[in-house]
Amino acid sequence: MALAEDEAMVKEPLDLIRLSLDERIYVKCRGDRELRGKLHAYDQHLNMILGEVEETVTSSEIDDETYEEIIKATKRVVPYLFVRGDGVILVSPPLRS
Amino acid sequence: MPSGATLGVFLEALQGSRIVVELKRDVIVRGTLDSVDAGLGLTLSDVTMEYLQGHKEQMALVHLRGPSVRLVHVPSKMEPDMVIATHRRRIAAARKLQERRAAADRVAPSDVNSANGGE
Repeated sequence: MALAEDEAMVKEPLDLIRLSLDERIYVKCRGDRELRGKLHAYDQHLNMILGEVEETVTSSEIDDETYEEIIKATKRVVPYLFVRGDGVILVSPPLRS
Repeated sequence: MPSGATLGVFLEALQGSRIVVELKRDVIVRGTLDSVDAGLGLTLSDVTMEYLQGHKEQMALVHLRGPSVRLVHVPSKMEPDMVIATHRRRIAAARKLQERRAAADRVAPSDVNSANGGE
């Protein structure tokens, strides 16, 4: 029972991520990328294994004629993904979008 | 070999399977995973590299430096939970074996002394 209490205690920032194991999370990555998926595993480098992932890549272009900014979001779904931690900016419970 | 304390062990479990690696410079690498090193560098054989411009290159053997990797697509047939659990058991078993050996080493010196003292 003491072990369960220890596991529930949040002692350091990574413990917050531990609480999200097996839950759907939102990950903001470098290169204007976002991932939404189920967190299967993570380590101290924030390498992660995500399941049923939706990746959104946001790119912006400037129209040559009108000079207006066109924002494009490209999405794709991948069953299982290993994400290298050095690309991760933030991890959070899913945002409503 | 990656340490058991990082997710590198999961990549190790993919050895022998066909994987797809996305590099940070927007290159897609498809190949059979040969090995994973401590920095999560990947060595792949029977490789096709697809560049953003569209052209492809075939290579027999390729080593990708860990920091160059953005994502690794895992075969969808794999169950990450089971793979990780199997690896954790392996690591726990290895650790127990190491502890038993260390404990045996601690006991052994006094045995040697008493044998010498006996003589």
